[in-house]
Amino acid sequence: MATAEDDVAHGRPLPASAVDPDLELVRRAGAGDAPACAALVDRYLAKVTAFAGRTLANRADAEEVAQEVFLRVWQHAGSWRAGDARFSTWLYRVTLNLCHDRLRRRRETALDAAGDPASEAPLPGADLQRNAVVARVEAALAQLPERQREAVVLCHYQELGNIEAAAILDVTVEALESLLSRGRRRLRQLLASEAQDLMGELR
Amino acid sequence: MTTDTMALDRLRAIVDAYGADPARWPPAERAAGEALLADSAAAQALVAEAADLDATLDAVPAPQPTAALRTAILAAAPGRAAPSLLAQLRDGWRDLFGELGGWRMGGAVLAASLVLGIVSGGLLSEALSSESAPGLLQLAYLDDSDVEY
Repeated sequence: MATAEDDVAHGRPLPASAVDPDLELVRRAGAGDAPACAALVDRYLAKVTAFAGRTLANRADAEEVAQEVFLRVWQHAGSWRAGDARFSTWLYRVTLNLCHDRLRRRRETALDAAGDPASEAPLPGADLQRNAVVARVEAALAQLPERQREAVVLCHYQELGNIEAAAILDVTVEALESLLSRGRRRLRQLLASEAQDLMGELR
Repeated sequence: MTTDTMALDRLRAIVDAYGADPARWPPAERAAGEALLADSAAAQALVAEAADLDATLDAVPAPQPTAALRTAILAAAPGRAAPSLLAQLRDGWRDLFGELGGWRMGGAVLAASLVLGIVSGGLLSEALSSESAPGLLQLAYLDDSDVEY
């Protein structure tokens, strides 16, 4: 299975800024500098957890993925090289690959258990006790095709730029834009019948 | 098709994809998009429509990591990571050896082991010699799974 680490190791083109804002911190963390490790965790743990949580629609799985992501950060920080990729791009790619592994296992388990294709119903994890708006929006997000959901999460929720988001998804910027447009159009359709209620509850 | 119409089409495509907030628009096109937005009622209408969806999406809070997760991650960080299994075993033996008195007690421990070996060997030899021949045969068969009893 190809991983983001493989991408870096084999020099696949990932966009690198002229100066990676995380480079110095990653190097210091790799050298065992405890404050740098803490700073790196504080800079990215919430983002990684949020991204995994929205991709997997499951908080416990998201925390496990976040822990695995940082284990890989610690493994690679000592040998991190400037120019291969921005650290944040690599980090999101590792997160996405780990999420894909879990979604694949989830689908396989569903197939084994039910003997029929995985349902497009909302993924487990939505808390029925939570706010009705949140539950309905999460359900709509969960119904998006996987790539559309990932594009929306990266650009809307994670607020990444289009070039970095496209690199993480391994698509062109044009393809990213298409995923986003289709994703948002589908969300509008899914939430249209409830739009008035939703906006009323939000205001 | 005029330049303004083209720009509006492009802004529509941008807003369809990235939403109403110019901060999420492609950096290279942000200034031009904002300029059109300031001048065009049509542009303002499509941005307002997209803003409703943005607000709805923003109602979902981001999952937050727990303090325990942060602690666990930092415990595995470089320089603070748990020692390898081999290192743990080595350190365990070293600690045990130290508790037994270290090298100073090495001679006494060796002597005690020697005496224990001689005594237990003698007792075992005596026990085996008192065992009857059929009994020994049964003992030998106990490990032979092919033999039926």
